[in-house]
Amino acid sequence: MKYTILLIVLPLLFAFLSMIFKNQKKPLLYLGITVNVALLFIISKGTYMIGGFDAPYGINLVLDQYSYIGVILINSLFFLSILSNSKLIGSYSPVYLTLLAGVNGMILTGDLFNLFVFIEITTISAYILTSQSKKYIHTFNYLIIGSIGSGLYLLGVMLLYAGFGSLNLADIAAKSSAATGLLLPLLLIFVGLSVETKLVPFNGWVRGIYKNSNGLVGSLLASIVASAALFVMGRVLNSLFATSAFMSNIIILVAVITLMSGEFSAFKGKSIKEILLYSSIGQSGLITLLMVTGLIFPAILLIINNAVSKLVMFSIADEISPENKTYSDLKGSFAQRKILGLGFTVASFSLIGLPLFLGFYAKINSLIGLFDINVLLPLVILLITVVEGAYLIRLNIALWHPGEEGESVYDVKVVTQAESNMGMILTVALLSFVIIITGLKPDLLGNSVLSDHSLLNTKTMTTTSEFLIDLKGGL
Amino acid sequence: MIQISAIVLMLLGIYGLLTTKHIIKMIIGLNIFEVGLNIFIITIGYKTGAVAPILTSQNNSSILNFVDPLPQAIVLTAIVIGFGITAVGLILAKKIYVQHNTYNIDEIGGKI
Repeated sequence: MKYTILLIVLPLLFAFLSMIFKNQKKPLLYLGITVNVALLFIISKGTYMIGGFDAPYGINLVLDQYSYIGVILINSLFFLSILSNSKLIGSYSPVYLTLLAGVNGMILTGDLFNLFVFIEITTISAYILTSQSKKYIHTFNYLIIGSIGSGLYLLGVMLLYAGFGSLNLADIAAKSSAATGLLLPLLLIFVGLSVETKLVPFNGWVRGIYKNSNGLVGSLLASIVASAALFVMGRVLNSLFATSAFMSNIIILVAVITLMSGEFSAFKGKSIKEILLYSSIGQSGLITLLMVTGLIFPAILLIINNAVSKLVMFSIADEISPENKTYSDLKGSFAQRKILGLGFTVASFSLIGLPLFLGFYAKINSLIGLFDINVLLPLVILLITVVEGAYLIRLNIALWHPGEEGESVYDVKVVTQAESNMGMILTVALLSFVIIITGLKPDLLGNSVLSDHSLLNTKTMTTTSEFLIDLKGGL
Repeated sequence: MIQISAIVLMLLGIYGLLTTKHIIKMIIGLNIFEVGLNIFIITIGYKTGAVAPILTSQNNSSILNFVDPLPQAIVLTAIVIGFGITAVGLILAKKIYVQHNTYNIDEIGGKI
């Protein structure tokens, strides 16, 4: 049945309804996100045309295995982040619903101009949400960079339209496989998408925005908008850029620089949110690197790992220190909040890629894939993993260890578990459970979400079962 | 020719954005960039001597020389989106003015 379009339309409907029924804003928001999660159980894969025009002429929605994973990840995490930070919603319910419609559209659409529209819907919602922090100059910065980026993206798309007479991604990909002289449009499209994926020269907005946003907006941006942008980046890279070796090399270079600069800046970070924002930049670089080298499966695992971990960590960072203190001022703050602390530790260990967690499976998969392509790239990732481990374990020690008697400068306000946020505790416990279970039994992912291995048709990828055989053979 | 002038207009907008320190002028620069982009998109579908793609009593044959209507539809959408962005930008500019009592980026400092 054709329920897929409802993932985009229903949040918009609820957003407009909550503009009319202003005193029912919050119930409508909860209804909207619940309906979207319920829709995940009844959507079926396929390509859906909209408006009765067939694919190259009309807009179509593509729900293949790749976007199916994206939609499941994004809608369920959106539900959980709203649930865990419900006290921070305020009067912005319609904007959250519009954001949800925008990210779903970004992942589902198969049309390049439609993608532009959904990127704009998402970013305009993000501008409004980030202005809650009252640091308007950072939001203005984000608005200028984002608008120029999407303008350049639109210019690139229109150059492709002038060349091929089509806006459909699959259609252009088929027509452009033998074409030359696509450097300018591809470069413009890449620059446009890089703004949202936080690649190196275009991520000047990230610091001001992430550092000042509250737990809900921060976790939405870092886990949901970032994942949607990376899913889009992966699809565009693997359909359009597959033929251009020169572009691929440029993107690999940009991705490696992003990865290294992000992780080294995170090492120098002073507050939890600062560390998390630079770590997000680094992870974006790593995922883009995997996408452009065609390692779709490890890239998706890393997106899942990054999204789940960042949701947990951003929510907890805001819960224990809304005013964004340096972490040396927060010594021992997990001593009163053991469940949140355990969740934070599990998420950060998974982000490093320690064994027993999902991140290990994602990272070793990407290393095995990259060794087939190049020797230097895996070395970069290993080096970066050491840096990641250093700062995240240091952060964990500081937050757990109360310090010597009289040394703890943090004025410990005794918070019992019952007093603190129940929704957040449930979410953190659930997501930590997911990280550990999928880390211990990666086949669970393989059997449920990744059951169909034909993710993207252009390049090969390592499947779960193949990977396990490889690992056994290797060991 | 008109395509080149559209690209010059876009570059002028970016130049304005990069050189000015005034927030309202930055929004104007952004708008000049968008106008240049829209003109460029329109020119993609333009054909000299062609008619609008509407069948009327005068133009009642489908073999007539039509312009491409798709870029026009796209520009319509792009104008609406540009309007939305300008509106959000102006709201932010007003809020910045209320907060810092200036429109100059240098005086605000931009400290993070």
